[in-house]
Amino acid sequence: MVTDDPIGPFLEAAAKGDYGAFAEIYRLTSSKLFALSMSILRRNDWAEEALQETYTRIWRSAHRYDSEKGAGMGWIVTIARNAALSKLMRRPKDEFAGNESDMLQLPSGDPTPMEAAMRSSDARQLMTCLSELDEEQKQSILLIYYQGLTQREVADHLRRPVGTVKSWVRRGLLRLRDCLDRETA
Amino acid sequence: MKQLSATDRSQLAGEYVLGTLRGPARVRFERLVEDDPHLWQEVAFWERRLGPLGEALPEQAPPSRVWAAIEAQIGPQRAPARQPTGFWQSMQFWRGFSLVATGLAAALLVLVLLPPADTDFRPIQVATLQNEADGTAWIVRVAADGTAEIAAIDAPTAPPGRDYELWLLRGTDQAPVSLGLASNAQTQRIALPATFADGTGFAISVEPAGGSRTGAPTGPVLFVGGLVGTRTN
Repeated sequence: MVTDDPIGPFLEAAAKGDYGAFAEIYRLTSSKLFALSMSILRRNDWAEEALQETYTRIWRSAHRYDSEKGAGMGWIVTIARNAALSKLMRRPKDEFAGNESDMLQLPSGDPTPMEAAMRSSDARQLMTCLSELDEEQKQSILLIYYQGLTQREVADHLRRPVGTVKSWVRRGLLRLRDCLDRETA
Repeated sequence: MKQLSATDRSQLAGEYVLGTLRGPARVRFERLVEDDPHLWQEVAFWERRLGPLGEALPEQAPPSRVWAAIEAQIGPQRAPARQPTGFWQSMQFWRGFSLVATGLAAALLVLVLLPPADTDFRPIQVATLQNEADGTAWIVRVAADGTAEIAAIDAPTAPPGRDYELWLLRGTDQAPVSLGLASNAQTQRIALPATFADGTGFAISVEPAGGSRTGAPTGPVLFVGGLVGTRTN
């Protein structure tokens, strides 16, 4: 069974310069973060570069991690997504990788494969709350999260006005927030 | 921006963590967060709550060259600054022995993955010269016979009228040693000076055409990489 924060203690040790702890973080998380980078960047070389940048940042800013403010994995995932997103923003427009068919597959919102991977209580709550969203809200949020799309790109993809997508995302996030607060209480 | 409502804060922080805030808006938001503890709490909330999404994909192991590159990049920082060689005798080294061994295996893999231009060239150490914006630009491989091979991987073109110069890095209290101009097109083979005995890594700077006239880097140092691997003597 996965504990809620298996990474936090290693991050705290890495912040004190413990390189062994840092290597353990890499061992425990690199396959997950590489999958995440690949899902956003869809090119091995870019995803490898983003991953390298992710761990360099983790090592350099581990002292900024605060266990009071959340689980270590959430903190690390944010760094990985930031690294992938900034790489995505730098790439030329015409190099947009992937095609319609694989854009449709990944974030279908189908909870089955996700549920298998989400065993912590945070993960269960998130699944419950995502399932309460409207299909469009959920799909927009997952497309943005997993593929790094902008709201305009989601709008193009779903063939809906960008204002509509923005409102789906905004309302989806607020409903998610309400639900997560309720679930935690 | 103090008049942001709780709802606005939560929504902005959610959009930031989700990734819809881009470019200048993202940078502005990051500045706002630094001055607003409530906003920071909201960001932490979303990081924690959306974090499980990032773990939900089927795992995909990265190639071992990624770890080798990470080690090469942060390696010099964990060595004691004043005594590069002391690192090998330090407690930290022994505590992290298995890790260093893993790093070595990864470094060796890099050596194997990159076939040398000269088949007689047998590298025992490697340094990946890179920065965060451009990634890996050059790889320097060092052979037991005191020669090195400098291969441009994804090296940018030098600005007009300028050249790239390669430097041997030693401890922080020792001056870098020029190793000559670095080509961004061809793989070069050079003989390392005796000062390489203190070497901890390599760097590339931008210099006037023909190289620095002072014997020290004068332009911006663009790419840096620490040495990974063991010397036989």
